[in-house]
Formats: sequence, C-alpha cells, structure tokens
Amino acid sequence: MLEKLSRLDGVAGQEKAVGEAIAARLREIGLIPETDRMGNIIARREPADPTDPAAAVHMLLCAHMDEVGLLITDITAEGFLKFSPVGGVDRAVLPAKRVRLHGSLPGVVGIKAIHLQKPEERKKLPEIDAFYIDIGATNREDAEKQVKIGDMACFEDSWREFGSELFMGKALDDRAGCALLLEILARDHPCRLTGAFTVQEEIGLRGAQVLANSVRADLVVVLEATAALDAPETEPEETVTVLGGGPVCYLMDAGAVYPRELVRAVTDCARTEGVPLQYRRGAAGGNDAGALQTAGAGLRVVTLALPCRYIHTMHSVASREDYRNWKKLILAFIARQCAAATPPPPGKGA
Amino acid sequence: MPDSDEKWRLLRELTAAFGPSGQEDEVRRLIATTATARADEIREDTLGSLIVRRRPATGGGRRVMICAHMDEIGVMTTHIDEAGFLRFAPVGGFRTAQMEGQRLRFQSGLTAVLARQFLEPGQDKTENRRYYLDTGLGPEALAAQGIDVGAMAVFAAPLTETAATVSGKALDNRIGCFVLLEALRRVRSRHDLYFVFSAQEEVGLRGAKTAAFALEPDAAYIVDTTIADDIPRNPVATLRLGAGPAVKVMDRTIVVAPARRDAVAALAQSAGIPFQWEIIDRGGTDAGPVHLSRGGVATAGIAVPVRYIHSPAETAAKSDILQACDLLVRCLEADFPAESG
Amino acid sequence: MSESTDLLLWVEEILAEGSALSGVSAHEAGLGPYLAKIWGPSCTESRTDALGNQFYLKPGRRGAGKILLAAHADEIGLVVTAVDEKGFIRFAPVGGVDERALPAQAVMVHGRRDLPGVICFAAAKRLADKPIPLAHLAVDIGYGREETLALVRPGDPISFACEFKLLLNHTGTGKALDDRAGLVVLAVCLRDLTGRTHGPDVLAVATAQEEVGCRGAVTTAFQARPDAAIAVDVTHAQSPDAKQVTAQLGRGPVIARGPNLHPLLTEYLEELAQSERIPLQTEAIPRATGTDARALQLAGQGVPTALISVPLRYMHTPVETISAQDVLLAGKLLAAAIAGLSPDLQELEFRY
Repeated sequence: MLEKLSRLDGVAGQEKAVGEAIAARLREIGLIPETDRMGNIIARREPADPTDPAAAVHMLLCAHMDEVGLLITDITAEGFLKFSPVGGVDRAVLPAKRVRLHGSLPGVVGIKAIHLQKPEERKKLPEIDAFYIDIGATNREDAEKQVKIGDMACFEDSWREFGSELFMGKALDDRAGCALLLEILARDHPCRLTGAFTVQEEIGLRGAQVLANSVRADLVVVLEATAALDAPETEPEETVTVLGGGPVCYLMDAGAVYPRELVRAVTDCARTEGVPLQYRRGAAGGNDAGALQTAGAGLRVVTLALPCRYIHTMHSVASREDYRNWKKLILAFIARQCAAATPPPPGKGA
Repeated sequence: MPDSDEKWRLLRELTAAFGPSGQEDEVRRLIATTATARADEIREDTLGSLIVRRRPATGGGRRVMICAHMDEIGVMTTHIDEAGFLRFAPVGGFRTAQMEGQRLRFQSGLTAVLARQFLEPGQDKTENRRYYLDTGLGPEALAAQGIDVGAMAVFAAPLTETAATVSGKALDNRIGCFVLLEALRRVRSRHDLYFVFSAQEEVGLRGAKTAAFALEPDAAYIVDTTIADDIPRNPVATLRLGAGPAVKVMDRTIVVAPARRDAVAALAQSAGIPFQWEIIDRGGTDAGPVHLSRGGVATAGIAVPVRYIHSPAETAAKSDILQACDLLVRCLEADFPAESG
Repeated sequence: MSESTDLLLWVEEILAEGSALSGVSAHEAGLGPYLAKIWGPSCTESRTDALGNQFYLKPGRRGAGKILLAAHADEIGLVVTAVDEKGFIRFAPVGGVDERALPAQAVMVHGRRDLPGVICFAAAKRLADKPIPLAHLAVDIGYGREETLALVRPGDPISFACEFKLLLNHTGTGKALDDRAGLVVLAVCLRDLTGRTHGPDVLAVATAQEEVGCRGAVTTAFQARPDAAIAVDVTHAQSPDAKQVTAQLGRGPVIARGPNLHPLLTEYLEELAQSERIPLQTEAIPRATGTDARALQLAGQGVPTALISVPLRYMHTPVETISAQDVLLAGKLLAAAIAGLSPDLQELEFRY
C-alpha cells in the first residue's frame, strides 16, 4: 500500500489521485470515506464492543495526503515552464531533477551546463525564479497543448528497495502515515476511532485547520514522517532523529508543545512493548498537531512519526524495521489508552 | 490593601515559580492556591491554562474574560552528551546568543550555565547550535535528577527591588498574573468574571485561543507586559517606566477597536490614573487570538512597560504595576460596554 | 515516411539503451555488447586497444584511404574515495561534474555489485545561497559501515541513475547522452551505409576517457593513421539560462568551424547538408575544441578533422536533453558524406 501511495502524485492542493486510492482502500475494508469541502477524507470505525467502557473514548488519528512539489506559474515564449515551490522545497535539490505533470508527462528541471557557467555563478545557488522545467516543447503554444498555468509538477516517483531492509521513494512524508493509518483502520479497536487523511499540510496545516473546526476527540495521534537528520557531517547535537532508531515521539515543534504526560505515556508504552523509541531532538517545523491542538477549546495531541532521510526530496529513505515498530507502538498505545479509559479527560472546555 | 512587603512577596513568588511554555504546572499551582479564597470555580483546560471564575453577587452582568499568560520563555533539552553537556532548543523568544554566561534553572532546582562551544574562526556565533548548558553533572547524575531530553530550563534570577522598581526573570508576564490576582482580590463587579492564566503564550498565543473559544466571553481584557524603550540615546522613546500603564492601541496581532481603547483611557482619566499608549510593531499578545475567537470578542489591552524584556533582568516600575491593578479594577467594575467619555 | 519513422523509433530505442549503460571514464568495457549490437552488423571486424578504445571497421574500396569516425564511449561520473565513520561513501568527480546538480541525486555505485544510492548532505551545514561543496556531499547506499566496507572499495566508479525518458517532440532526456548520442549517430551512419558503396574504409571508434582529457583519442589517432577524421560529440543547446548559445534543440546537427577543424572537410560537409536538405547549424570555436577533435587533428603528420555535434541541453547532468531527430539527421549527414567522398581523399590536402 505504501508503495502504491508513494508512486501517486498529490502536491498540496491536488491530492485527488491519492485521495481516490485511499477512499478505495477504505471501502475495501468496509468503511465509508466522507470528505469535507477542503478534500480531507474522514473515516470512522465504531468500537468493537459498544458495551466496553473504552467504547466511550474517541481517538482521532491523522495523516496528511499531500506532498511538496512545484506550481507552474508561467510558460516562456520558448516553451519552458516557470514555477514556484509548493511547501518546503530546498532549491539545492532542484537542479537537474526529473519531474512529471498530470501523473505522466515527464519534464526536467534544467540547469546551465557547468562549461557555460562563469566562476562566480558556480559559487551561488540560482534563485528559485531562475529555475525552469523543460518538457521538450518547441514553444509556448506547443507547451500550452499539454500544460496550463496553475498545474502542479511532482517529483518523479523513485520507489525501490534500498540497502539493508530500507526502502526509498518520494512523498514518504506522509504517505507512510497514510499507509499505516489504513492498516490501523482495518482492525477492530475497543474505542471509537476516526481516521483523517488531511490535505494541504505542507503549505501550513490548512486541511487540518478545517478538520479542527468539525472534529472533536479525547486524544489526537498525528502520524507523520519526520526528518532523520543523521547525514554525514551532522554533529551529534544536530541529529534530530536517526534512521533505524525506532519510531519518533515529538516533544516540541514550531506548532505545538506536546503534553508531558502524553509523552510519558508513549515512553512507558514503548518500554513495556520493547519497542525502541526516540524523541525528536529539535523544535523546528510543525505538522497537523499544531492546528489540532489549538482547535476550539483545545485537543490533546501526540505526534508519532517514522524517521525518514532526505524528506522533501525525490529520494526519501525509511526503514522497514522502524515502520514495523511504529505500527506496533501505535497499536499498543491505542490499546493502553483504551484500557486506562475513564473518559472524558478533564478540561474539555465550557 | 496589605502592606508593601506582603504585596511584593507575591510578585517575588510568582516570578520565582518555574513555568516555561507547556510545563507551567508549578506556576499554575501557585496561582490556584493564591486565587482559591476569592474563586467560585477553578479549572485547568486541555492546553494547561488555569481558569478562575468570580461570579457576580447579582445576575444580569456580562461574561468577561481577563487574561494574562503565566508561561515564560526558556529552553528545552534536546541532547545530552557523554560528558553531560546539554544541547537545547529555545522555547519562545529566547535569544541564545545574547545569553552566554547566564544561569538557567531546571524544575528540580539544578542550575546550569549557558556557554558557547569552541568555534573555528569564521563560524557564526549567533546560531543556537553553537551553545550548550553545563550543569557540572554527568549523564547518570542528570538522569537521577529526572533531567532528560525534553526537560526545560528557565532563567535562574531572583527578583530584586529598589524603592521604585523590580527586576528579575519572568516579569513578562508574572506581572500580568499579579495584576489579575490583585484585581480578583479587590474587584466588586456585576459581571461574571473569568480570570484566565493562559498557557503557551510565548510559543504562539495558544492557551488564550482555546480558552476564549471555550468561554465565549462578551468582552475581554488582556494584561501583559510591553517593551519600554526609554533607554539611553533612543531619540524616539514611546513607552517609559513610571509613566503609568499602557493602553493597547496595536501590536502585531491586534488593532484594538477605538471605542474599546478610548473607554479604557477614559476610565483611567476619570480615576486620575496616568497612562500611555502602547503602539508596537513587533510582538503579539493573547489579545490577537482572543479578539478573533468565534464571531469576534470586544477586546482591550493593558500593558506594563518592561525594560530588557526576555532577559533575566526584566525591569519594571512598581507604580506602573499598581496603577495597572487600579485601572483593571476600574474596567471590571464599569458598566458594560464601557463607553468612552 | 514510414521508413524514417521506424528509423526514429530505433534511434530512440538505442539512445535509451545506451543511456542506461554505465561507462564512467576508464570503465567503458561494459559498452562492448552494446556496440556489437548497434555497430557490429555493419562491420567486418572489431577490436579493443590497451586504453579501452573500441574499433569497428567497415571496409570500402581497396586503396581508397581511411576515414575515422570517433564518438566517445565514456561518461562523467564520480569515484569512491573513502567510506566515512558512519558508513557514507565519500567521492571525487570524474570529469566536469557540477556539484550544484548533485544533492538528492540518485546514483549507482559500481562496487562488488551494483548498489543504488542517493547523494546526501548535512542539512544543518547548508548555507542559504551557496551550493553544497562536493567535499561535503556523500552517497548513502543504505548499509552500515561494515557492510559498506565489504561492498565498496576506493576507486569504484559511481554513475548517475536516471532512466532515459522521452519528452515531447522526440526529445529525449537522460544521463550520459554525452556521448551515447554520438555512438548512436555512428550507428545510424553505419546502418545507412550498409548496401551502399563508399570509397574509404570507415573506422568507427568508441573512444575511451574523453571526459578526462581526450586520452583515448590520442592513442586512437596514433594507431589508426586515418586520412581524415570526424569527431561526433554533443554541443550546448540554448536554454533559458544559456541564451548566449546559438545552437538550438531540434533544428539539426551542428557543424563546428575554427582552427581545430579542417576548412575543406568542413565546407564539404556543409555543402553536402545543403544538397541533401539536411538542416545544419553552425558553431564557431576559436580554440582547440573540448572534444576528441582536438587530439585527432594532431596525430602523426596531422589529420584533417571535422566535428559534428548533436545539440544538447544541461550537459554533464543526469537530465541531459537531446532531440532524436537531430541524432538521426547527424547520422544521415555522415553517411551521405562518406558515400560521396572521392576515392583518394586528395582534395583534403592543403595547397598553397
């Protein structure tokens, strides 16, 4: 499922293909996908046993469907496409990369050949407005037969098995979360479970903001893919998470300070289950939890993430072992929250 | 009114309490204890804000939210190396590079010095990652104290006093908490008052947002500190220590409705309370999310000018603080909506 | 036109096949079967020399001289220099590699077996406006240090991994089209000459080590002693950030003029293009060209040398982009030129 989702294109604002695949899978597992007007998909799984006290607990699990990409802003007279990044795209990774439009039309992000660069040009990264996509069109008219301004270009799919028990692909952030959420929704749980597949996370948690207007829950678990900053020359104190170190529990990011008692509950759960757990040792970035935590009278949020190298590039890398442990941890965490349930928790507002 | 020593003892305790954003439990407990005698209802919400309700003697009043944030800036531990040196991320507007040599304190009481690592020539010393905390303890001793990744620390600086001023850490915004507690003690209002000691203001005005949503107030007063800029060689100082509390006109998150700010100013004038206008182009306050809550909330702001804000030696004038209390009490005792003139 | 359409499809097919092969300078041997397939059927003999140059002979009439066609087999790439303490592979460039095109690029490390990898860097060290210096980049193959050490040795070549793809209008994009496109031009030429009579022997050479200084061409010309030589390579095509370049994609092959190139042989090719109605673009190069032509010209007593190029965008990146049409036309022009050459090549002698 993750492979299938990773191969699909769903730049923020154009998540249709991903949404269709997820909705189809939800129907397969007997759930009814509902959508809101932003395009968020919501699926509800009722408690396995309505008489169980845990049946009164309502948990919301979130993963976002969208990925970063490029928005076509102009077509030059010569037939090249100009673009703006959608979401956090480091322009250092753009030169000489393959993209595709409409899921099938290939293009390349061109860069002036090294032979033609002046020495001072070689010392600078071109500004984003200097980049362009080449689709082989002969001129603007020719290009316009295929592409409209406002279309999205997506990084070319790169799914493959990789190295020692790893896998590589684009958009693992957050198709990994989507895939796991589908797995979780396919099972019975003692509590009421709402799964939300959100849109437009990469451009400011915009789908989750709308989701927050309507959904209430006793506990929110955000399933994310987070940067494993363990690349060469990264100092120990710059290492935020590592690949193979197990699932990641967030402590604080730009959008949320995660409640200490939930972090402790996750930590205890991991210890009991024998699952390796790492904390996210950095505070930059944010995810849907930020929008959900401050929604309405406030929601209790925790983010559990899959560590993933080279996030927001064409070649993200994650570990099968981490994925298995991530799944194990979340299933156990849900079960423990249900077992401990004397709902509703305090402080649910007026 | 209790005598002066007694009064400043409360502010001293409030500033001494540990309360970085998201880990405000210590300061929350202190406020709850202090407020109990005059509270009709006390509760804590999901984000950690403390909500203290003071019902009117008679019905017919409006629902008023009075909000001061109780959290303070600090740092959060992200890494502990084999020697016990700690790396950290700022919590709120903590300006690491300017805090070299400062002492910080964990909730356990353990103190640490903020120091800069060895730098190669040309390395940028403004970056957070160049700094660390040294507690003198190794990793095992730290673990024994409960200091692990995720543990937060705040400035370690006791409140000092002169006849005219107070100085210390977390005056932003324990002054606001102090003003609310003082108003709670004195106020005789016909309105239904909700004193909100909000959490997580310094990391994005979060606690006040959810509290306002839950309370659905008819009106709100936000009490916070503001940047006093009466420092040497500033040709355009606008907010001065000792010139009275500031009535908010605008900051990055709100332009106060003219009728609301003028009403507050008129109450100050009629009571002979000096005041200044707060117009700042940086920084936001809880007033931002509160006035945008649900269908909009009539919101005004009162601010106490503080020099060296977000440092261990934030400095404020005692007279400004006391006058802010007087002004807030006036506001809460006025009819609603308090019209200007 | 169906013969021509078939031919174009064939060109696209063997471009894709060539692009997929790996042949970082000095590791060109892997191209052997490919050359046997695309050149072999038209030729009577083949051999490989000490430097790795691969020769294919298509005989003409006895005593009619010999023309050498050279396209280089190698491609730019990287070479493993070390495995660092975390198990990441450090590398150095082979040929003119643009470090700005490297971050997040997919590569293939040719170790004990072919290992897919991706080029990574320390995000914490990244400076906003500066490219990441090559010395701070590394390849991640997804194995720990011990496993990596067992799989990879310093000196192993690393090539880009970027599957050939067709864009619009018979434009193709992929890695190593510099100069697999040249090999395909020669394939078209040899195929076109099959069944036609031609005077001189045609010696097609896939030269080695062009990207590191035209080294294969030096020994090639020394051994072959041709009466004339035509180097076939790629040249820059105009793009939005390279508007000063005159050659354009899809408007036909490019002939170079300048001191490195024999004026009479060049004029001959230009006239022939006109009579054959093959569109031809011209580029002027005021010095020794950056192609095999620079070495071929200086062999022995000197060799009359011309340079035909296929216009290409984004040279030395994994997204080199060319027109299959241009490749096809370059091959046809070469074939027509060889078929039309006079028996003794005497017209190429300088006469003062």
